[in-house]
Amino acid sequence: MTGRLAWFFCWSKHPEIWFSVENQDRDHQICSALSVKDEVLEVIQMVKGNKDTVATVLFPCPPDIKLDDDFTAVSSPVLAFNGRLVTRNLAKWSSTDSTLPQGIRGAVPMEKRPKGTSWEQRHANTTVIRVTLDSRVCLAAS
Amino acid sequence: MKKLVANPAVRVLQWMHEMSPGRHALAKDSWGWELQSGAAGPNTVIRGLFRFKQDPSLEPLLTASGRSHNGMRAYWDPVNWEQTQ
Repeated sequence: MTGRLAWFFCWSKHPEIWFSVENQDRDHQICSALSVKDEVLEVIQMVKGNKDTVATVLFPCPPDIKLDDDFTAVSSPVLAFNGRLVTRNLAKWSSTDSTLPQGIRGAVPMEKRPKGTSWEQRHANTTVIRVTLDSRVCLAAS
Repeated sequence: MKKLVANPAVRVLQWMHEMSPGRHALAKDSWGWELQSGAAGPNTVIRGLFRFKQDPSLEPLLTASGRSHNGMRAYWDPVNWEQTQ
């Protein structure tokens, strides 16, 4: 099973988790954020090595989940922006494939999306993107 | 901080202009700005929503998430990934 398929297999069992990874050629660039139950975590990093682009995704998972071979269990406290402990149990997925797909994405669950056709009709052909500024990493907000 | 809280959308548009030129023109409106508690304490996280015209060229904006300009680092997180290209 490829890493990507393994991810979606795992993700499908935990639809409350979604994430995005973009292929970039920047060193040590945090390029996106992982959302868990509407709280953004800074846990996605992509690092360009000498030869390969390495994508690493850490995501919370139940401690008793049987991980696919492509995932590694990691124990580390993860705090949400509000300081709440989200989990101590993480699964790590890495790719060193130089042909990393341009985008690996989960999806926002239906219940998290704006409700009602009227909203969608009034705002057809638009997309809503949340922006977060945290004083820990944003000097202008401190 | 006061300037940022007073008009966060303008500051974010400036960040967008520098980090992902041209995408600010796709922004239609913004709303739902909130000062929230974060790991650094009360009122240390600013969050808001931007509505953009759907366009494949939004991609660079998403990949610019987390980059810093003028002391400001913005993280972008689509409300609905399936709507993004």
